[in-house]
Amino acid sequence: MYLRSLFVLTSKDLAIEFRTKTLFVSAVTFAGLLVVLFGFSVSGWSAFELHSLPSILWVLIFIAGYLGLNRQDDKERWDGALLGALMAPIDRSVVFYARVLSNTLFMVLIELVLVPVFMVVLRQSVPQVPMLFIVAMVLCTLGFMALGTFLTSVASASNLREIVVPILLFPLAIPLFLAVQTITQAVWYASGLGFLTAWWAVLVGYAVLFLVMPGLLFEILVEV
Amino acid sequence: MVLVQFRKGFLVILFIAMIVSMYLDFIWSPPEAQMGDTVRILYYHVASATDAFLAFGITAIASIVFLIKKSVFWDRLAAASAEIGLVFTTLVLVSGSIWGEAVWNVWWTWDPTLTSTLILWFLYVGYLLLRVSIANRDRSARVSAIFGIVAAIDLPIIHESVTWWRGIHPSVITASGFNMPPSMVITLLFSIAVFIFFYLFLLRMVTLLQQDKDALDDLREQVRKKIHQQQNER
Amino acid sequence: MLLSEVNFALEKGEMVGLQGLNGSGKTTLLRVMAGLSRPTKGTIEVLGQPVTASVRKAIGVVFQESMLYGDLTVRENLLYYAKLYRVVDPKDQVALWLEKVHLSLDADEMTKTLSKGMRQRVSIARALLPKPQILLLDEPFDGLDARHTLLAESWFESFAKEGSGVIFVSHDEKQVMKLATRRVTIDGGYLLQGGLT
Repeated sequence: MYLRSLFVLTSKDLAIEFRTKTLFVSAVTFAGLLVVLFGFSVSGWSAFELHSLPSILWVLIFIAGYLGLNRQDDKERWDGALLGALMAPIDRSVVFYARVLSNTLFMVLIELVLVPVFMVVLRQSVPQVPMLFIVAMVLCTLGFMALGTFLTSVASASNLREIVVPILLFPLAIPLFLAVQTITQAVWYASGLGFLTAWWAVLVGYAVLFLVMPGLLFEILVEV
Repeated sequence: MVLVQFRKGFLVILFIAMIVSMYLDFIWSPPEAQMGDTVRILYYHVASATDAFLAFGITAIASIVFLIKKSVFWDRLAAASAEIGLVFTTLVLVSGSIWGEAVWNVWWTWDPTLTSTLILWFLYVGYLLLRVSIANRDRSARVSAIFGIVAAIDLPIIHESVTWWRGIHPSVITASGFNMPPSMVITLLFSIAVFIFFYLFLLRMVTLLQQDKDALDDLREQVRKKIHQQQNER
Repeated sequence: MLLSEVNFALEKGEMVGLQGLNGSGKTTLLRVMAGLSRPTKGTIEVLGQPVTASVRKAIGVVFQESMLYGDLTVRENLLYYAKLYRVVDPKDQVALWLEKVHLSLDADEMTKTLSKGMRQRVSIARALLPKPQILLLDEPFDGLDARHTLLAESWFESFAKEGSGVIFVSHDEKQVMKLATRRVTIDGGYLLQGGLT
């Protein structure tokens, strides 16, 4: 029952996005533009200096991820669409998990386009341990989207939503950011891979923490 | 009336203690061997930091109690504590920055504690923005309480991760390794104590202020309803 | 908006007309009953228990928001809700209701392109499709033309006849007189007249 509702809600999000493609197109274009701006800034850098650039990738992804959260929220606000799901005879935490799931799927798709663009424009090599990079990317995206979806609900009644959400989101996401950028730097050049245990723990811990906690609190959060 | 008198007595003692504290900070305690007089910033810096983190803790505890008891008192306490906490966190950052410039010649350093304090500052701003931007009082209280608790759970994780992150970067400055003579320790402890009582005093005042504000809002709402009723009867 | 003292019970087969001035708390009352808001004080019980997922299954609402997704077609929207409410034979039921609200021809249009009145008809179909035992209607005739207003009235009445409880808000006094089996007026959260139980 639970999984069926989750499927109904998520496939509705996918149907909308595959039809309109607005989130995908706008996030990729915007993040791509940021890559170009970074490109201008670092055009005079030496190969050695460019070495530390992969960690910057996550600044772009976090910004694009926030845009995605915002867009998802807007879509569900139009003519009260979210209210319909909240009044449906389903456990309300499903609404939260469906949002996290579709947000994560969209974001991973966006990243799959963005990362190659990043490598080409900023003259970066291919990660030397690509599998670990992809695992870190997916874990980080899941944690970020769980946290972000939770905070979007926290701020949903705020009339300063657009600015309050990032101000709540980015400070709380700092451990995630430090973890993923450290791991990225290590797997990109296959150096210091043995010293990452704590950082992997942060990635997994964040995903677990912000998948479990909001599921318990969502009921209190959505009631107006 | 008793309460007001108590507050007055408390205020007088606090005022005297503050003057004593200033005397200890600026005149009685000796300059430090290497840092000289700049060490005196430390008394304010550490005392403010104590208040900043204490206030954050009180906000989190009041938030938990509010969610259990649903009484407005705890919500007001959480809000007041956060407001005061933001002021002290700003003082920590400013005094830390000045001290850093005087001692290490840098305005900012990615020292884990300093970085956590900066993030704490952002969390406070977010908490207060969230609070004021939700019109429905009941919902604002509930949502802020949840955020307050989540932020408090996350702050130690943030601190830990910043510490690890610093571990793999070259560390330019270490804050450890200067021994304080007893006179400096006494001055520091006295400053901290005075700041804690100052915080408690502020907490009481801001809570009362908020209570009056809420009462005023309720009155305004009642008047509005009365006027509406009279208009309807006509 | 605060509701202070509202004590009232909705009986089976009743059609209650909820009246009150702007800002008197009509919408708030309906939202509390739908489980969207919680009362600041006191309790709300629907079908003898607090509003939980199993109770929500029995509640159908037409509110000022259509609760439809603009980027889904009319049919997709109805199918989505039919599946969430676990309606048996969702496709047939959706086709049936599309026929009833005269939107079969527009079934594959994007919902955001519909006019206000058409969207309201979809919203009514969305509410009635799972055959609710309780109908909460906030200005359900808003934007409907004369013909569809009559149609909608007949549907709501037949739901009441079949044993559902209906509460509706309408600004049209004559319509309330015509439809309501009982009238309830609230003002500033106080129930002024009507069915105190």
